[in-house]
Amino acid sequence: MPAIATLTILSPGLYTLLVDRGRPRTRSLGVPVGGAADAFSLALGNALVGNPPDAPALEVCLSGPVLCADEDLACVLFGAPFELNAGGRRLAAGKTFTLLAGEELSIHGTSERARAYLCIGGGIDGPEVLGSRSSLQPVVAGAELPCRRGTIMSRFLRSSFEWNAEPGVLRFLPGAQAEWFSEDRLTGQEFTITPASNRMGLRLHAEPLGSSEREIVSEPVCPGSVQVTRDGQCIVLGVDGQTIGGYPKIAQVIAADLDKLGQLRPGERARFRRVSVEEAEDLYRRKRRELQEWLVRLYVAERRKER
Amino acid sequence: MQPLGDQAVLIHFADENDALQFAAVVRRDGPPWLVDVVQAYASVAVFFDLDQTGYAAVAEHLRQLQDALSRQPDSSTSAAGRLHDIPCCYELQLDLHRIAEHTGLDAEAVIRLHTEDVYTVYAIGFCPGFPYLGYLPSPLCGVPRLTTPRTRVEAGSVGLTGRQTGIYTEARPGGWNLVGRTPLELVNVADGYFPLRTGDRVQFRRIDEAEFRRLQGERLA
Repeated sequence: MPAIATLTILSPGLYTLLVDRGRPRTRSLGVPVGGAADAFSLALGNALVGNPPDAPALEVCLSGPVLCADEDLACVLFGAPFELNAGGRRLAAGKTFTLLAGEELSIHGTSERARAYLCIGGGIDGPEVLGSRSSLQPVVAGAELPCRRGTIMSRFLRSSFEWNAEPGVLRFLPGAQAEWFSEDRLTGQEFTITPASNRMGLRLHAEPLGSSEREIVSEPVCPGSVQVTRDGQCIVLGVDGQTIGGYPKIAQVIAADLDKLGQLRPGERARFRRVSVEEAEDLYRRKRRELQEWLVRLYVAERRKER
Repeated sequence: MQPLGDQAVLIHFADENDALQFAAVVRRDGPPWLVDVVQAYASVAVFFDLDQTGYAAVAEHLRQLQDALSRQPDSSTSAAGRLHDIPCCYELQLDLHRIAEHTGLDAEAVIRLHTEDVYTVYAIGFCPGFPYLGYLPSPLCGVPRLTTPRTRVEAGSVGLTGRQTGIYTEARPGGWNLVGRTPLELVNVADGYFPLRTGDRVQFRRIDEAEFRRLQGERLA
């Protein structure tokens, strides 16, 4: 019988959220997809501690939480290279570790990218809402999260992958109102991620794409939709973005690149590159294959170790 | 018909009813790759599972459904929406004066017109379960949004702007003109309670403050 442990949040950090793969089937109710902003990192973090790829984990953003548990826990922080330590020990992102009972785990900041996933062997429990354990609110100080006791041998996975060779390049298909704008304006300049960005969307700043007084009747949008506001600036919708919108859409970031949106941080720059539907689908399949190969490798290694 | 990226097909229709009918047909058809159908006014997005299919195959399938529908217009789905009677207390308004000023009507006339028509849920969005209801009788149309949106609009607030009226299902910042408030709970995300769907019809019924207090927190019958 698995032993129950409690993970306590001592300090919540900037925006720490329990996430899994979210709710892809609730858009028609006006409920955003939600879930991990970088699902690729969530899957690999989970695999490192022997969990299914979609197990609930804590997403940390830019400045992490301080936590402690009443039992030993098998942990990894996977994604952006946050600095972290537990007790007096300096730990490394991407490397599994056992958090000892009573030890304080501090997740600090990261010099690059924005988000990482604290995955715990056996997963972290939370209430299921509309088929997902992704929370609608970030954790607060004093919150107690049920999880499983465990220990783990040290293993490491670097966070660099073929699909993500160019993290600052967002590949796109034309949006529904693309012809209202000049595509050169979108592809010919760099866009700066502004501090007003969050899980709902990245607000970009660049030379205005041209302003349009025309409005559209609200129509469905989704993560990756690039909306142009009245002042000619772009908002790229994120996983918590609204489900319908009335701004014209110049572009739609392809599915293979949605995880990049979760790792762009304020001050960083991004570029847009147009692809065809066929290329988009091929890039998605290649990324999917790369993920599967890593998952298989990690699960096989896990089983060898157990034998 | 056009790609909404590589995750969905976006289709624009001649009018809201055509979009409603098509969304209902796709839901009923329920192909294995279907993830979600989102309708907003005269547009429909059909989200598909990229692991199972691709844009070309989905677009072709939807074209066939469209052809079948145009050959045999589906009379059963056009009347499929449920009719909801939603009590609304117009004494708990904040902007009736402003609405009266913009429309040139007196407050009683605004209330009478607002309760007279049966509206259709043309879209759900903005916040979980928020129904966009259309269209207002023409004398009530054209009231612009507040210049400065309120930082908090209470759940149950009934607002209007342009040709539309709607109900804030959760407390949110908002810029619509608040004409009244319903005591009913119209969304509970944790319980998966979403009684209003696109295509449903809604009529407001005037209640007084005593009735508002009596019904406070009840769910839609």
